[in-house]
Amino acid sequence: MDIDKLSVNLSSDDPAVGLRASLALHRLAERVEANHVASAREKGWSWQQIGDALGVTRQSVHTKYSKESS
Amino acid sequence: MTTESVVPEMLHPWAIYLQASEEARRRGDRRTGTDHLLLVLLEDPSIEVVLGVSLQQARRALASLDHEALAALGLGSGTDAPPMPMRAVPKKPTIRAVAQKDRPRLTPAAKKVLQEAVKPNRRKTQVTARQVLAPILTLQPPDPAAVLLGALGVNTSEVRRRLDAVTPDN
Repeated sequence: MDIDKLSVNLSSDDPAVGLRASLALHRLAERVEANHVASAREKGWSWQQIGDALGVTRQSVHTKYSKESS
Repeated sequence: MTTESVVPEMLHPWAIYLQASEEARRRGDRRTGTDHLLLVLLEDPSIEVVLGVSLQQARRALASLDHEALAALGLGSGTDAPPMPMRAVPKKPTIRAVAQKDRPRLTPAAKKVLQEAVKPNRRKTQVTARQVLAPILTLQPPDPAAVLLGALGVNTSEVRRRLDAVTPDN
């Protein structure tokens, strides 16, 4: 994928598709984050390290993900 | 015993919300929408029959709608990540479970669907799957549930006519 093509496509004139795409990107980002938090935990990362990598506090990653990895 | 005499299962609106919020979380959604409520209703086999689609079909349709939208941005079909595991939710919902901070809140449209569904009931803590389905069937695109039903090829006005024929009251 090249950036020129992305910006051209972003101007796609159907708002129904464009708005859906924006939500789909968000959903995708959430799933990528969740999957990589789980894999970081498996590799022995601390909640502090994961929080640092994501730019949030240790507590907030822990609250969000501890129930899945336990 | 005929099928008509089967008493529909009474559900707690909060239990529907909790399960729907897990559907939302599974996909990485920030909010629990009408599409997620619809997925929960499809766990009821009688709703699957009414709509002629299964829960798995509906989940797949949502995934392909996302793929199409991402493709419109130029992101290929390889752009994906597996859904998150769903957590078990309590059958008897507690205020504590409902108020949990990491739970995706209801969208205004989803909230309205649940409010409409319980409206005719004296006890607002009990609702049937069909009562929740009724307001969902009146939604129009771009509402997410309406878009999903469209993608699944469900004729909502036809389903509404059939449901009205079965339940002449209200």
